[in-house]
Amino acid sequence: MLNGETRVALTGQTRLAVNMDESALIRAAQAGDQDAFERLVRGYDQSVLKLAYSLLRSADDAQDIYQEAFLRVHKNLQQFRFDCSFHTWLYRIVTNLCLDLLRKRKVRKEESSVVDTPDGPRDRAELTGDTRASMDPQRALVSGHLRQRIDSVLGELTARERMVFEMRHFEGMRLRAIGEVLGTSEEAAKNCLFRVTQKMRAALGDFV
Amino acid sequence: MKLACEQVRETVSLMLYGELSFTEEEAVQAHLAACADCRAAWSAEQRWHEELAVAAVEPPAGLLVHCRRQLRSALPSTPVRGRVALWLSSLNWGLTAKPAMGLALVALGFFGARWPLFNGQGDSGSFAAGANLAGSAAHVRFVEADPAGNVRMVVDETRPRIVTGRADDPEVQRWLLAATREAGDPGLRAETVALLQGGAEALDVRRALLAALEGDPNAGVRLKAIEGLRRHAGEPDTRQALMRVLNADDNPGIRTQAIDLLTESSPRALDAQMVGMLQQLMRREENGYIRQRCEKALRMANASAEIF
Repeated sequence: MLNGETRVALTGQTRLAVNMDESALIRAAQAGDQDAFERLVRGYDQSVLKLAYSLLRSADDAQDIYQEAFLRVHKNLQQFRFDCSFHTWLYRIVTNLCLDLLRKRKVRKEESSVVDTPDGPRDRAELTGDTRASMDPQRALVSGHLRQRIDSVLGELTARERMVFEMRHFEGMRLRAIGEVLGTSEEAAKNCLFRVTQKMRAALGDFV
Repeated sequence: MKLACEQVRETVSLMLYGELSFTEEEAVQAHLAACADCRAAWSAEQRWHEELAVAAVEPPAGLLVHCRRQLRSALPSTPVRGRVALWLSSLNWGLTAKPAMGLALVALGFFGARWPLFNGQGDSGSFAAGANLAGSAAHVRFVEADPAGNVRMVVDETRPRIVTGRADDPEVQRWLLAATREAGDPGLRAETVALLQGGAEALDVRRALLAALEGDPNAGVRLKAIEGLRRHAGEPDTRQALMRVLNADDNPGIRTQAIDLLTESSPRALDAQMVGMLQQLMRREENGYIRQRCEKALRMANASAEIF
């Protein structure tokens, strides 16, 4: 199974075959085939988890989103009528869950630059210092500051801006697809991305 | 279309994302060719886009496997709604059949309650959703009675059967493949996967081993699966699966095996994807031994262990 990114590299004929495979899997899962459902999940779950983790920066929250999203898919798969791609349908569920959580948590204040590590929550700048111990100290310092600055901008974005930016910049999704997922137009998604890039440019301009 | 400098500087980001129309991009390119200040702004834009890579985060190793297991245990084992809907649709009954269906359900209750009497068990037996009949497990799915007193039933019946043969016998293999997916006992799954190890040349066997490697909740089964794939580590599907395992499996032993298999076939010629993945792994892997293996593999391939 392939995620959205991989599909880009496929030829038209292969893409058709992949979509046909996926349609067959969906129909089998709708008819109660548990194995087909699992294969369907496997095709997307890595990117779903990555998006949730990237947005929420918490393993527990990403895990909750993963679980809830696929349980909803399982529960509502009978209602999926192929009006849109499965990817769009799934990502609508995932992004809605993430948006709800981001808003509930008032993530801009909570998130700061703390990430989960096996040793507990730690500051990302500090973590960067650890993992790049052999890096030139001057460069490590600049990199740490840069990271803090980026985190600060990300933290200031609205939940929707954050979502659009993650999906475009880190997931490589097209704005048209992002618009479909978020239930808005390509133009609105473009405006949203435009606002984010303005903020990034203003914040990072003197670093580059 | 002629653009002002201000317009160009606001648009270059969208051009980097490939989100401008052909005409818009042509106009920006034409402007950049003629304007040194905007070219400098374009270069700065490219640089901060690249710098954003430091903000990319990956889920911790093992989280995906953990999520998959948790999801599997949270899902109902059989989606009853789907099966019933499928069965009803296969009957292809119209609206007029609904009263008959109702009657059938009443009859099911009636005969169900009296089954022990018919079966000569008197009060000592009971009949609910299933019954053991001469060593088999059975479920009555449908019952109807005609005016002459005849009863027609649809019974799902399961009887144990002994299947013997060599591991490469097609029928034996079919059962083995099913057991890798469906057996509830991890010991049985591990035995099954071990029996399939020698047959990984066959595509369906290799797929079963790959599915067990990535999806089985038991580490012992996954280890058996990875052993069976050793001779096929160079195949693209196996290679991709091993990379995913290396990123996602929470068992360090399996991750170590995955590195070995990925690197031992052509240690001096790792591809760019593999080098990138090992470098990423160096950054986030908490197991020191695995980090050492990554570093060694990167050194052998003359690649840097750092990401700058």
